[in-house]
This record gives sequence, structure tokens and C-alpha cells, in this order.
Amino acid sequence: MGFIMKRIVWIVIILGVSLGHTWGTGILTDAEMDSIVDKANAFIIEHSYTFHIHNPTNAKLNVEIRMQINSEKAKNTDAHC
Amino acid sequence: MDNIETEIYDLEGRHIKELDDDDIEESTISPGFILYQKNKHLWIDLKHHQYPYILSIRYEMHFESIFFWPSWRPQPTIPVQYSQYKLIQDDPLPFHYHTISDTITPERSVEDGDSVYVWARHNIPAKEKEDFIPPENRLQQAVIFAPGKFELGDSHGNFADWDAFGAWYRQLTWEKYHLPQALKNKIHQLIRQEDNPYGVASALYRFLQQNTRYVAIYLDIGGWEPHDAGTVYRNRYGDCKDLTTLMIAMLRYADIQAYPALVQTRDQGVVYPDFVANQFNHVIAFVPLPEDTLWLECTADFIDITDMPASIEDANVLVVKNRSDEIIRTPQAPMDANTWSSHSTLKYKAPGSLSIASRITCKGKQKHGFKSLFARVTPTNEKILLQKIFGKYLPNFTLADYDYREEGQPNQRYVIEIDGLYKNAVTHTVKRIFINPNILNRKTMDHFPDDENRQFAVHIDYPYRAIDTLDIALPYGYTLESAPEPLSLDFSFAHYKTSYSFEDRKLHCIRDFAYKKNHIEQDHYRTLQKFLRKVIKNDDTYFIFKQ
Repeated sequence: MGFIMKRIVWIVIILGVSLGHTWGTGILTDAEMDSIVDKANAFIIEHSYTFHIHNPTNAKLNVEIRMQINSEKAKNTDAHC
Repeated sequence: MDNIETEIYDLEGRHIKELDDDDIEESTISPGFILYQKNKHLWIDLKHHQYPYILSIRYEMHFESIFFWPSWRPQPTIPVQYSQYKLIQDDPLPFHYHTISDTITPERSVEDGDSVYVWARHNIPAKEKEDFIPPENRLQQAVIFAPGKFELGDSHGNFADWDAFGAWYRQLTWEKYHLPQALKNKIHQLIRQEDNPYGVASALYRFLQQNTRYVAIYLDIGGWEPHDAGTVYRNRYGDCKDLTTLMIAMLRYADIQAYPALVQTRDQGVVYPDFVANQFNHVIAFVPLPEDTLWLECTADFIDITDMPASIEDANVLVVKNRSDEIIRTPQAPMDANTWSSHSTLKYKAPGSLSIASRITCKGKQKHGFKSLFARVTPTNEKILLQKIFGKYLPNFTLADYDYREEGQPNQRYVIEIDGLYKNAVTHTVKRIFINPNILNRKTMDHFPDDENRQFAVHIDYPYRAIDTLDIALPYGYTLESAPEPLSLDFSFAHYKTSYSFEDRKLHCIRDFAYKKNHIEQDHYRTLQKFLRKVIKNDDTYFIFKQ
């Protein structure tokens, strides 16, 4: 099927995480999060996007991601940027 | 993309290594359905042998149009301690945004004279992964954006409302509907015998299917602007918008109203009707005939004009008319339009095999599935494919002979006939034989959504019905000792009914399964589980015959 958006360059970084279970769609308390990241094969510490629009035909996206990899079981995550 | 930097640290912050440019691999991958695309893909395989470690990645992406405004998707399949999206504008430009899941409002400020918005979140759990999750629920937390105005190539447009966005697409396609004289002559020839709009549309759709192929080549704003109908006709190929443009041009020449409809294919989710933005990845033709409306998938070579692929059914689409463009929900064919019906005669062959002669009749999407399959495989591979399909539940299947054809007026159903042998299909002891008649269709745990705390609806591709009727001739001297209990289960979303009789050493079985709906709300989840458990158990139960 067609109609794909124009993208100049895209990056896929495959790191991989297999967590075994999920924790819902809401927001967690600090204690809940600490408990989860202790057991996780990998987690993201900080992910920041900065989209700077100079004008409608000139914009720049800066992406920064810091993640902790705890185990070689970290496979096939969709953590991409 | 520029300035890719990646580093690895230990947990104390000591630098371990950084990636060289040589570690970055570049390729010009296009998706399988696109012949050429100007995109480049960069791949980095990041590994370190000692755990745990911290991985740091930074990069920049440049945009020549804010039409492709990147969204914020803070929830991957791993937990996130902190995520933020910062928007900086040199000059404040109007824009709007839509929050998926719960509301999150940005903090606004001014930095060095620039207008700044920041969306941020702490402690985000990993994304829910549920069996048979609706496509629209795969993205559970996000903020998506649209500019008030945009420029793309030489074109200018805005997202003030759907009418305004439709006007932009209309402007891109306005001059594309001219036909060469040779095609005009051909159209006269094609529709000479037709005396109503449906007949005319059918003739032209058949012509499109038989004379063009789907091929996509994207350059510049080629993802959005179609080639003109004359070029598509000369090339005999195009992508969805090219083929749709040609179809619309032919229909309009034949005095039938037709318009492009922008679609987000159903496998990608559903367009949010209250958020005016670029949410589309496909285009089809909308043809409002006096008797009924046709929605034409112009890239499908084997589908009947009245059928729609599941990818464009029950979808919000933007119909780009001459004015007053609007979002319309496409219809969905009911279960009885997508049927499989089989009649099989089986005979016990000692020691433990079953011969089968079966006639399967398919309609709607079940028909389209088979027709597309047969069109794509070589005659040599047809047999292998059929052995795989009909040997799914009894793998020792040898296909001796087969045939397939379309029947009915006009081509209403697809018929497949098979003759073959299931070796070791019958388990037997000294005095008993065990037979499971659910050879062609059965439900297994692969079909069972198994989530303890279900958050979302259960979604399958489309509603359908499958009825299997079997007559199994058994050897002399056997009586029926036990049988699965005949079941009759009927719910708003599905039904299942089985019955059997055993007379003159012939076992006669009927199995009738249907999903009446393809989207089963979370309220019905426990009922659906109970229903499927009973179906799976019944499908897996054997008839036992005693000598």
C-alpha cells in the first residue's frame, strides 16, 4: 500500500528486552517504578525529544535516550527512536 | 540525520566505549510493497558483554516540512523513568495536538525569545501487550501534532478543518484526471453493453484489475501526489493513489461520480475524527451510486467490486469531494458475506488412515484469500500450499488431486475440490478406534486471548462463518461408544453449534462456527473466554467406536 510519508532518514536501534509481563497503561508511583526497574532486563532512564521549528520548511528534532541494560535477555524491544 | 553519537557507560558513570562511524550500517530499504523509496535506514548493533551498563544515544533529524511533525511516543515495551517532548518555535505558529490515553498538558514558557512547550512524564510502565489487541490500542500513550498551516513541495495547505485538508489534496490531484484519447475509446468499447451505473463501474473496475499492477515509486512528495491518469494508464502500474486516480478518471469520463477517500488502513488503527491531521496511509475510490455506495480498493486485483478488504472496512476515511469534505465510516460486511462451507466424504482405510473427498465453497474475504493465494503461487507450489492448508490439523496429509474455480453469476463463489489421504488420522487400539472429525477447522489455544487483566477489546480481522459437514464411513462391526456432547452456544459476538448422527456405520457431523463481530468489547471478555474454552474442548474431543 502506498502513501508513505516522506522521511529523509530514519534510525532503528535494536536493543532488545524481554520483560515477561507488563504493568498497565497508567502512571506509577516512585516505589512501584523502583520495584519494576530492579527486575527489568532493561529500562529507559531518560528519553527526551526536542523539536525546534525555525519556520514551516525548516525544523530539527534532537533525540537523547539513556537506558540501562541489565541482562542479555534484553531482546526485541520496540524502543526505537 | 546528523550527529549520531552513542556511548556505553558503567553504572558509576565511567565511560566504556563509543561507537565509530564504521559501526553504523546504512541501507536503502523500502517496504516490500514499494519498489523504490528515497529513504535511508541506519542500523546500529549495540552490544556490550558486561551487565549492567548504561547506553546513551543522541541524534538529530532535519525536516523540510512540518507536515511530518514527529509525535511523542513515550511508552515502548520497557518501562521509562522519565520522558519529555520539548517544542521550540522561533516564531509562534498555530498548531494543535491530540493526547492518546489520559490528558497531559504542556508547560509553556519563553526562552531566549522563543516560544517553548514541554510535555513530560515520570514513571511510565511498559506498554500493554494483549492477545488480539485492536490496532488502535497498540499506541497507548502519545501526543500527536498537526501544524495550522504547512508547505509540502510547492503546495500549501492547512489543517484548520477536514474541509481545508481535503481542499489541499484536491489541489494536488485537480489536474490529474485527464485521459488520453486511446483510453477514452477503450472506455466506450468497455461500457457499450452496460445500461446502468453499476454495470459501467463493474466493467471499468475489471479493466483496471486486469490491466494494471500495484507498484510504488516515491520521490519528492510522491508519497502524496499522484501521477496523472494518462501516465498511469501508459505505465500500467502505480501505487494506491495512482491507481485510484486512474479509476476515478475513467468513472468520471463515463458520467459516474467518484472521489478519492483518504484512509488509515484498519491494521494501523482508526483516524481520530476530532483531530484534523495527517492520519492517513492509503487512498481508495468512493463511488456513490444511486442503488448503493461502492468503496473501491484499486490496488486489489482479485477482489469483487462489492467486496472490500478488511484493511479498509469499518474505517474512518476522509472523502475528498468537490467541497464539504467529511470523515465517513466505511461499512463492514457481515459474517454471512465471508463464509466457508465444506462438504466432505471420508472413508476409513486400514490401518488408521482416512481418505477424503471435499468440496469447499468460499465467499467474500474467504474467497478473496484463496483467490489471491492461487494467483501468487506457481502450479508446482499450489499442491504444496493446499497440503499445508488442509493438513493443518492432521499433518500426514497427501493430496492426490485438486481443482479450483469461480462459480455463480457474476463469480459469486470460489470452489475448491480436494482428494487425498490423511495417514494415521485415526487412533486405534485392539477393540476401539478414535476419530476427531474437526479436520478442516478447529479452534485451539492459539485462538484464545489469555490475559488476566484485560484492558482492551478483542479484535480479529473480520466477521466470518465456517460450516463443515462430514460423512465418515467406518469399518464393519463398530458401534459408537462415546461422542462429544452436541453444543449450541449463541452470543451477540459469536456462535458455535455441533451435531452428529451415527447410522449404517456412517458418522455424520456438522460444525458451525461464526464470529458475528470482529471487535468484541472488553465487557464481553470473560464470556468470550468461556465460549472459546468450550469450543476448544469440544473441537478436541474424539468420537470413540467399539468393536
